[in-house]
Amino acid sequence: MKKIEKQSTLKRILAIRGMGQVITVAFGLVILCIIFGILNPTFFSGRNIGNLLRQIAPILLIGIGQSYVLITGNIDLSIGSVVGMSCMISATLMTKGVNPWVAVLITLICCIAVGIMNGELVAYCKLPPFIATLGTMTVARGIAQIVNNNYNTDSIGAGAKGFRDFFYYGRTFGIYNTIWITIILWLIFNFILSKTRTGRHIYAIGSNLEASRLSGVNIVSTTIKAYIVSTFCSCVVGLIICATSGMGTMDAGNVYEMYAVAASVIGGVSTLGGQGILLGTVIGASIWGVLQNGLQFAGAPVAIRNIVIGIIVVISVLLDIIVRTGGKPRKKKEAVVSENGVKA
Amino acid sequence: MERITQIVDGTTLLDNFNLHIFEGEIMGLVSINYHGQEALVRIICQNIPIHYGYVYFQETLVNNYKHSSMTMNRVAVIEKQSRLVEDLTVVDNIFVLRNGFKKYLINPKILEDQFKQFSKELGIHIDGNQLVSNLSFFEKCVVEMLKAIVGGVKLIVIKDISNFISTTDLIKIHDIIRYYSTQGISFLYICNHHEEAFKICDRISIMKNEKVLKVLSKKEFKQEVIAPYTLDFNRIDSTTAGNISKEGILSFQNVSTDNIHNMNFSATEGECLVFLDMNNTVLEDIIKLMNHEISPNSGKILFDDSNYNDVLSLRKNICFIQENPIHSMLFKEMSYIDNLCFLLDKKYPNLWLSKKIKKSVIQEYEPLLGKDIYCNDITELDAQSLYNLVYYRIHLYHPKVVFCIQPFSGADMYLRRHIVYLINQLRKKKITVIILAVNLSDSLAVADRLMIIEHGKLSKEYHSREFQSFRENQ
Repeated sequence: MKKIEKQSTLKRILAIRGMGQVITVAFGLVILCIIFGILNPTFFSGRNIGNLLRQIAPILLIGIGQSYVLITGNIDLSIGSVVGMSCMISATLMTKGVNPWVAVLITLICCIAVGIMNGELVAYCKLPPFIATLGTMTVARGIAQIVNNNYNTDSIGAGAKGFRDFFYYGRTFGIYNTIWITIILWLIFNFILSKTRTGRHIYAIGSNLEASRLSGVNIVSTTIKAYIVSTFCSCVVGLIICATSGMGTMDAGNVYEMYAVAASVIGGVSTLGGQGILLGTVIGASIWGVLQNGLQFAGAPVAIRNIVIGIIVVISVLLDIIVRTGGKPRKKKEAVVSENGVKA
Repeated sequence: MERITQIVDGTTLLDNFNLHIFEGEIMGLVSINYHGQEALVRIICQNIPIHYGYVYFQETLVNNYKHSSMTMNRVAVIEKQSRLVEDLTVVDNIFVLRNGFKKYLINPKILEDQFKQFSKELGIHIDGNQLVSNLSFFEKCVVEMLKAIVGGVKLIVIKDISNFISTTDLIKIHDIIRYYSTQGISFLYICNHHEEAFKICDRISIMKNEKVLKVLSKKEFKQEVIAPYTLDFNRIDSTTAGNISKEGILSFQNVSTDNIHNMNFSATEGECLVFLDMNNTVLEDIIKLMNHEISPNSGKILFDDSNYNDVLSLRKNICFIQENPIHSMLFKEMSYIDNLCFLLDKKYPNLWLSKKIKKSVIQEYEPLLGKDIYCNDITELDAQSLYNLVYYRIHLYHPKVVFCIQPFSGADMYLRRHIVYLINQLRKKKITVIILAVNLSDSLAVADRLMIIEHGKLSKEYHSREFQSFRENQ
């Protein structure tokens, strides 16, 4: 009797949307850690693990945002530029003597405005998300450049000590605040995605837009919400970078959109929309972090690290498409007809 | 609906159309042709502008020719294209994704309990926490119906359900419809065949050319009453039967896959075989086998007396005609003749360079296809002409076997009769035709043999002379 109960619990866990894939990827993560641990025993040192977690935190944050957007069936290419914009706006304001927390608030408002714009362009104006967010990516990077007249800012100074302590130096229960912020935001966004009506609507519009519309789901507002989460997370990452470097740099967050897609997709979030869980994004971001860290230890140059991560992302997307389309990677959502009249 | 007339871009979609559905009634709608059917469903669902007439919903005037509010009526439509969200669970679809769901936090257990009550009421066993993508067509239909009921819908439109629900499941769906009709829910049951409508409906409207020709009450559900409005599907071209050779072209010997169990049959040259899958489980496997997407777990497939592992020969000699081929097999950007010659380039690689071949095709097929063969924009053509294009493409290519997947699905009465003619044209060229279907429709008008598949096994086989006894058994 007890055995049956155990089986049903396991079945229940596996039945959670995308959990099977998450378990598989987690298994891959463990193997990676073991390999890097064997290659270099310092990989498992407390100091390295602390560094690794701090390295993973921003990638996980932008991964959460990208996962929200990917689940709605869209993509956000503006993530990296929003990180840069957030870093530059907050740093510029602080160097001009604005109270750091007011600067944070203003930065948040600016970033959320970008999120709203993305959502409006995609859901209301029906622009392809790739084009819409490519546009806002350029706009946000332009804003990052223009706020301080095409220069990186000076040091944000002693007035921003509290801000730097909170986002960079500060520890709570011996763990860096950055990691705590990431954990808390993950818990909140995971709760919203898995336990609330908004979460269900996000999955619904990614899975079947027409059915969602007919079911009374507000497509525009749900899409905007997803993009807001994405830019909010990017904003927090921008603030962390600002606190870490103690200044605003215009190219902060460069190619972060790629890292965000990597974290989400490796963790099982589908690029076709409608599928994925944030636990997967944690594993995806961890794989990214472990690969970066491990390859660094192994002495691999940056180019090689990028090649490895790029290949892993492509393979993850390919696997996702193969799994979802029944082994036919070239299948699109609309029927395509092959030579002998069979849908390809 | 009273005297509804709708004209869009100069085309009359509904002409003085009347329809009354009472509370708890199952109203049938049998279309002789499809003119106006889409428009009718749209007007029932949404109060869009009309040229003349009045629409009442629950005895309230909701739409008239003077003012159309564009609001939606509490109507659900169940058709092949599911309106469920595949990546969400059954309970999410039924409860969370409905208009008026107020709770922000979701407790799956409460929803599951509520769902259990509904499924218990219907005697259906579906796991509420299962993703919709894992459900069968039948289960999806039940879930859509439950979603409609939970959402407070008063009228459910069931459209051509027998085209995608197996014969066995159709009986269960009919039971559910009857159950909810006793609860006061009204149904509009749209189907192609009056025989199907006779089994379930309380009244039937016969529709043709945007108009209702006659409304039949239950006591008028007789073949002789409906006969003046239907076409005769008895053997249109009986000469083809003599065209069958005795040579086997395709045979399955104890073939098993995940869904097929020990299937044995042999199709001969020029023969028309109909596979009726009572549970809608094996057709996909047959297609995949013939496409070499899967291999048999056991058994042997012989094609033209050799093992079917010669993929090139198989691809050259087997063709498929998809369900609703107008949408799935034609290339709108190509001209009629390019579409017609589409497969031919396998036999003549220089086809697209040489005008001679195309000219000769035009010469040969113009008497059969008429002036349509010169058409550059195929979107201007009517359905019959497009069906000609699909079937004559195969006719021109001349494969040894053609698989027709639900050929009569989505076709009105005139078109169905024309499809029978087109299939016979293929058979005249000694092409073996294998029809894969989940409902019989008009397949018997063209079949030489009917193979019944139940639970993945060939259960019965009827030859054309025995069709009458099969019909009587049904």
